[in-house]
Amino acid sequence: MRELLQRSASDMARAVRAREISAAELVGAQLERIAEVNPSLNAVVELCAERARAEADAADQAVAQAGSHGAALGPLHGVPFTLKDSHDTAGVVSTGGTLGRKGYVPKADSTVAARLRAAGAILLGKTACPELTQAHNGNAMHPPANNPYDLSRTPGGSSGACAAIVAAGGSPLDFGSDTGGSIRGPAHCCGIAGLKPTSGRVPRTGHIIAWGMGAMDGLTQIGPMARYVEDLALTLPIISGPDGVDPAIAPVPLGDPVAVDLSNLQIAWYAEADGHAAVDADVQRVVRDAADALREVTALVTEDAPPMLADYFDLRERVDGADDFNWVRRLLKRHGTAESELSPQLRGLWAESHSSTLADFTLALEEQDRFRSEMLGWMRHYDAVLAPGAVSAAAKHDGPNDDGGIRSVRANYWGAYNLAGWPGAAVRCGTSMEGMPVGVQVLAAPWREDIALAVAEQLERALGGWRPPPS
Amino acid sequence: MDDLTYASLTSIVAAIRAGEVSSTEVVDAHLARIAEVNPSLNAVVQLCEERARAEAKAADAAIARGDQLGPLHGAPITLKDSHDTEGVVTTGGTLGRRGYLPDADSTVAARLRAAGAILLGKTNTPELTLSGETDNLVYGRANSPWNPERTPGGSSGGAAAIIAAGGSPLDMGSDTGGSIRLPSHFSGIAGLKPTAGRVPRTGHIVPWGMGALDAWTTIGPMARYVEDLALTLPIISGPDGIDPAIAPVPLRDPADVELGSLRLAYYTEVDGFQRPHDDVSAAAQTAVSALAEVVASVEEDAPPALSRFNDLSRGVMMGDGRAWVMRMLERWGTERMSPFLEQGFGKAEPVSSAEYSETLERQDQFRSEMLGFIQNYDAIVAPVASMPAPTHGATYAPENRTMFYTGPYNLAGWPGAVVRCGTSADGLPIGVQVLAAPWREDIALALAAALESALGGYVRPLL
Repeated sequence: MRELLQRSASDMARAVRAREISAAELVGAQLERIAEVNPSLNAVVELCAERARAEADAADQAVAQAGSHGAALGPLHGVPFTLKDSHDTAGVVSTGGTLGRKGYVPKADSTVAARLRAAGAILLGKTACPELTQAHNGNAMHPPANNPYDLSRTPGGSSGACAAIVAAGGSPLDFGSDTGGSIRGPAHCCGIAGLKPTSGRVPRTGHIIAWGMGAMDGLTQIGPMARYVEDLALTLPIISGPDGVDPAIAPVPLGDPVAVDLSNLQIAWYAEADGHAAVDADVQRVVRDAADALREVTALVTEDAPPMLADYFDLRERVDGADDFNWVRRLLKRHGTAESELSPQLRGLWAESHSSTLADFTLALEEQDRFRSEMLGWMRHYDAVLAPGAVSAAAKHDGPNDDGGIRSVRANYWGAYNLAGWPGAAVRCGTSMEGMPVGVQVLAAPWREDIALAVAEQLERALGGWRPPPS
Repeated sequence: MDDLTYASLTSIVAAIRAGEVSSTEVVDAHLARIAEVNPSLNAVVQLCEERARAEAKAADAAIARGDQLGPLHGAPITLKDSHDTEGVVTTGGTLGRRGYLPDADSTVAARLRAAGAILLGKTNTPELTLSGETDNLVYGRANSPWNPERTPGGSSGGAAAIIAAGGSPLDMGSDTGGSIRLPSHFSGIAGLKPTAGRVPRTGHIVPWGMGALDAWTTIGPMARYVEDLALTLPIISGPDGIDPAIAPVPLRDPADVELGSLRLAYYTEVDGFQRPHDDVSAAAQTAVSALAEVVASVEEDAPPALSRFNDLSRGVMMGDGRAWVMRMLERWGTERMSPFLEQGFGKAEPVSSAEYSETLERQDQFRSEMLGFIQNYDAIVAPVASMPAPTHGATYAPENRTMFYTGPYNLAGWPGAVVRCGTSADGLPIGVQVLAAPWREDIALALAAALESALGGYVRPLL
C-alpha cells in the first residue's frame, strides 16, 4: 500500500492545508485504491467519484485562496471519506441495506454527513451495511463484505464494510453505527480504531436507525472508524452536539483526550465475563498484554468486571422481543420493504421473537434503568475498563460465531455498554496465532470519551495499533 | 430584617452570613409561623424541630468560628414528603410508608443540607405524588392559604401552601405532569421544573428507574422569589452517580441572559384543552405585554404537537393498565390505594405490546417536533392551568384535569418556571409559565424574574 494511503485523516488535513498535497491527488489516490481492493472486499456499494473529484478541485481552489494560514478552512478540508450506507446522503443512493430503499436517493444529508461535509470532508462513496444495520453482514442487494486480512473471513458487523475499506487503505475514515457492538466489533475484526460515543452525544437524524426508537432509543450511537485513534479524536467534536431534531442529544461539553492525565487513571480489565461465552486464548492474551501495557503508565490496573454484565442478555431480549418485533415491522413499512422481502440475515432475528404481557414490558424498561444505575455505581471505582474486542479474532464466513455474537448469542461482549450508554473505543492491540488482528475495547463512564480515547491512544502507542493488511 | 418569614432565601442567607441575624432566630421565626398557620393549612406533616434548632445553633457557632460556609448556611427549608429524609418520617403519601424512617437523605436533601440548609419538616403530598390535589390517607388534605375551601393543587401543594404563608422560604417539589408549576400558580409563588436529566431523583418516591415514564419526573425548587430558584438550582443539579438519566450539562447564569435578544411565543389556549378562565387569559396577556417591552419579539404561536399530548399521555400512563403504579404500591407495601390516586389511575385494560412500543416511539416524535418549534423562539409564555385554585375535589372531574397546560413540557423534557402575574376577580393568585428549550433554565428564570419585577410577583395571603 502506498505511503499516502496509510496516512491518518489528521495528517491528510494538515498536508492539504499546508499545500503539501492537493485534495485532488488524495481523492484520486483513494478512488484508485478502492477500485483495486473493492472487487475482493465488497465493501463500497456506491461511489460518487465525479462529485468527489469536483469537490476536491473546489477544495484546492479554496486552499489557494485561503493563503498561508488556511484559517477559514474546515477541520477536514479536502479529506476524503466513506460513509456506511445507513446514513442518508444527498444525491447518493442510500439503501440502509433494505430492499424498499433500493435505488433511493435522499434529498438531504443525515446530520452526521452534513456536518462532515460542512467541515470540508469529501464523500467518496457508501459502504455496505446489513439490512437496517440489525444483522451481521450482507443483505438482499449486496454480498457479504470480506476481511482484508483474510478474504475467507468476516470483517465483522454491522459496520464491517466500513472497517474493511478503512483497514485496506481505501478510505481514511468512515462513520459506523453501534446498537450492540456494530462499530467496536468490526474495528476489532479489521484491526482499526473505532469509537461508540456516549448515548446522547451524536444526532441520529437521517440515519436508518434514527432517533425515535422508543424503548430502544438509547442503544444506537453513530461514531468514527479510522486507522488511527487521533482521527477519532479529530472527528468526534465535528459530529457531536444537538441538531435541534434528535431529541435525545444533550449539550455536554467534550473533554480533550490530550488533557487526560494517564498517571491518575484507575483501570479495570477482564478477559472473560460471567454469563458471557468463553473468550479464546488469542483474545485473552491480547487483553492481558493491553493491561500490562497500561500498568506502566496508569495509577492502577486491576482485574475486575461489572457483576451485572450478564443481565444484559436477558434485559435486551425482554425489550427487543416484547412487542413481537413490531418495531422492526414498522421500520420495514416506513422504508417500503415487504416482510416477504426481508433479507435472510435479518430474518434470523424473528426466530427470537416472543411476546410478553405489557406489565412485563414496562417492568423490563424499569429494570433497564436499574442496570444503568448499577453500572454507574460499579464505575465509581474506575476511570476506564479494558474488555475483549470479541470472543475471537474474525471468524470464517458461515463458520461458528460468524455473526461475531451480534445478537442474543452470549458471545456479545459489547452490548452491555450500549444498554449502559457508555462510550467505548476499540483499538488493535495484537495478533491471533493465525495472523488476524485482535482488538481491545476501552470503556469509560458516560460522557468521558476523552478518557476512552486517551487510553486507546496509549495502547496504540505501546502495541502498534493498525498494521497494513497483506497486499 | 424585620420580616424574617417573608424574606427571600437569598436575603436570609446574606443576613445570616453578615451576622445581621442568627440562624437560630430565623429557624425559630419559621417554626413559630408554621405553628401559627399550619392548623388551617395542613401543609407541614412532619416537623424535626429539635434537630433544626440544634443545627441552627451549630450553624451560628460555625459563623462565630469563621468556618467556610455553604451557599445556604443556616437557612431553613421544608421538603415535600416525597423526598427521603434521614431520621425524619417520609411517607410519600402512601399508607405502606406510614411512619417510615429512611436511613439516608435523598440526593437533593443531602445536597441542600451539605450546602448548609436546615430542614424544618416535611410537606404534604398526594399518594406517590400522582394526583393534582394534595390529599392522602396518611395525613389528609392540605388547604390553600388563600381560601381553605380551595386546594393548593398538587402534587407539591403542601410545599406551595407553606411557602406562600411564610412558613418556609424554600421547598423542593417534584413535577411529573405539572406538580411544581400548578401549586406555584394556585398559591401565587415561584417554581421551577428543570430540564429532564438535570436533577437526580435518587431517594425520591418517584425515583429514577420509571422506564418509559422516567423522563417525566423532575425535582425543582419552589420559593416566593425567582432569585431563590436561581440560587438553589445549581446546588441540586448534576450527576450523583446513581440516577442514570442525569447529564453533566453546564448550567448558565440567568443574569447573563440578554433579554433584548429573545424571541417569544405565547398562547392563551390550545385546541382540545379546556379554555382558560378569562382571568387566566388576561394574566397571560398582561405578562406578554410586560415582556414585549423588553424582548426582541413576541408572537402568538403554539407548538402544533400540543394537541397530541392527551392521547400520548394516556397511552404511556395507562398503556400497561397502570401496572407501573401497582408496582410502586407493592414496593412500599401499600394495600389500600387512596381514592384520589384511584381517580387518576382507574383500572384499565393494557393495550397491545405493539401499540405500546409505538406509543414510545411517538413520544420521541413529539419531543422532536417540540424542538423543531423552539428553533424559532427562545421561550414560550403560557397559562399554567385553565383556572385559579379550584375548590377541593374539582380537578377530579375529567373536564377539569389540570395537567393539560403543563404536562406537554414533562413529555418534552423542557424547563418551565412559574411566577405570579395577576389576580382573579375573586382575589386568587394567577401564575404564568415560561418554558424554554432543554437545558435553558437560564432563559426561563431570566424571563420569570423580568415578569416578577414588572408585575410584582408574590403577594402575601391574608391568613
